[in-house]
Amino acid sequence: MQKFKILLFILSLTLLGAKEHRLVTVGGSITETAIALGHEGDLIGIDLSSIYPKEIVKDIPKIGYWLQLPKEGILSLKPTMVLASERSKPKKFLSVLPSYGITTHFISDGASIESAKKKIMQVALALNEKEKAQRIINRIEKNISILDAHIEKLTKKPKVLFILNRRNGMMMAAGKETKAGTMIKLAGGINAVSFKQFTTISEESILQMNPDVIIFSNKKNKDNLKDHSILATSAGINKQIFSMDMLLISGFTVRIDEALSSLTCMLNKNELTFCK
Amino acid sequence: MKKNIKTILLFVLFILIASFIINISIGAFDISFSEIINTLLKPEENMINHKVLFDIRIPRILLGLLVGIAFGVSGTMMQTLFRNPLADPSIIGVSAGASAGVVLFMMLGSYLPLIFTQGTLSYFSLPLSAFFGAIITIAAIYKLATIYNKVAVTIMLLAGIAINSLLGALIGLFSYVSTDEELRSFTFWTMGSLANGEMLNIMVIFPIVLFVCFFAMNKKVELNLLLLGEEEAKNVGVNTERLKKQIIVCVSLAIGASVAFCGIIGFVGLVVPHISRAIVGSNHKYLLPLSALLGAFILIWADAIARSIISPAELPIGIITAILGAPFFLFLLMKNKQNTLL
Repeated sequence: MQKFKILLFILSLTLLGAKEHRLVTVGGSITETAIALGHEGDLIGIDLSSIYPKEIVKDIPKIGYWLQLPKEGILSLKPTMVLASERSKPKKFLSVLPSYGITTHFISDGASIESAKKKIMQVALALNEKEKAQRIINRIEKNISILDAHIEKLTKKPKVLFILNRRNGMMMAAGKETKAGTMIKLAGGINAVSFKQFTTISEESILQMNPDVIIFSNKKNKDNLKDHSILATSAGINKQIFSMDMLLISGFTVRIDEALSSLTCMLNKNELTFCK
Repeated sequence: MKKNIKTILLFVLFILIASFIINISIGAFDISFSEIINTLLKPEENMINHKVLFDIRIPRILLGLLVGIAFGVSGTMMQTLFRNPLADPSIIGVSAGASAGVVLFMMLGSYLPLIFTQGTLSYFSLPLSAFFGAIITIAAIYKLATIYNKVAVTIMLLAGIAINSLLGALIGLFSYVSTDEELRSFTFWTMGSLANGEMLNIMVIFPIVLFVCFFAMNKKVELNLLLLGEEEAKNVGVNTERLKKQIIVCVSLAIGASVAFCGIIGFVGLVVPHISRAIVGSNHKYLLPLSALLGAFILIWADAIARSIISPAELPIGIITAILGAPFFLFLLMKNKQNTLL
């Protein structure tokens, strides 16, 4: 029996040894970054907002929502490292994680390209992947400078409406200070709504705004618009209604350049040179 | 009969103590009984286990016990005060008031001096706003229901409903101007959680609950008389006006403090007195202690489920108490339907 236990112990050590870290990530974009840096094998726990890439994250244990992380839940996974969004909660608990012998890094998670780059670098430094990160950042910088050059040349700024959800005639539109709103601004559009946060708007007010482009966060919503009144807006008439995944448009992830370029294309009738 | 009831109380107390011990071994972090004993004997060799047990799990169970007792005793006193089986602590505006306090804090938080939103003090900003929200609301409802220095219980009930919906509107308004993050945090808060179990919070809530229990037991005879009706109680020499005020102050303190640390945990304050009454009848001498014990029992088991059922994630405890409490309450109602009719 004793021998068996020792054997089991050694076996578990070697199994653990196969992972460089036992990594828990909190925040969809941070998980995505860790995976992009090639550390998907280290992940032993992720939060509920980590939904991309789907086929990788679906089998990793979920530790709940990033605003209410479970204390014991995180500890029970016995991580060696936690990479958490600077906005995740409860702060008090996260800040004592090092006393359990867990290396803890708080990662930049703001709504700007600078923050996205900082995020990649911080994750990379924690995982010792500086070179890979630099390559990603160089790619982002290069792609965005091309985009910026195009956006600057545009004379007319389209009026854009981003709709989060649509049911029973009520729609949630992204305000100016939401992450989606920031992306619209970066892509050279003008937000059709004037408020700051997500707010419900009526069909009538959409007709009044008459946006040039409408983007849904959900493809189903976009496809089920038969006879809907928003087809009467200039976006509807000119068939400028699109859909874009929520994490892509508002995550400020490693795909920020891809997100911004497809958004810019949506805003410009796919007429720019880099549009597919 | 009396002897029977005492045996029941002792039995429930025993079950509660056993539940406490069993609960220490339940949680996402795997610690077996032998490991617990090992940890207790040699803390320095089992640092992580020791920290999980003493920094997270035991404080959490203790908080559950105290909040459960608070809900059980307060709920019983409320139902007696209003002589209404539907009364629970939320009826005098505790939950809505606390929610409004939290909402106001979240909305105005960015305008407050940094000392309230960052650093050590900030951990108390949210509980304190919940607490003051609850206390101010109760004071307002109380004031509205006071006529010629007497508390009109029916007006208090109705004013409570009106104020509740007014505050509900304020909370709805908040959802229009809040960020996604604030809204989510608030939603979680309204579903309750014992994750705030920390020794410091327990130190705050413990004396309050102790005081309320002593008060309630001290007034058991008066509470029994109050069941006959206010006039009758007055006729046999109970100072009903003072008693009513004292009950309201005690309930607001106990539930205000509970809500401040744990968010809104529904249904316990309503169901527990009913279960207790079905077991020992409505003599407060037995009803109050049984409600306290059962409240604690239900809450620590609800939390055990909440923290282990989808581990490593956690469910809000309010969901568990409602899922378990509502059907049980209905069962009780159906079972007693015939007795009520007769």
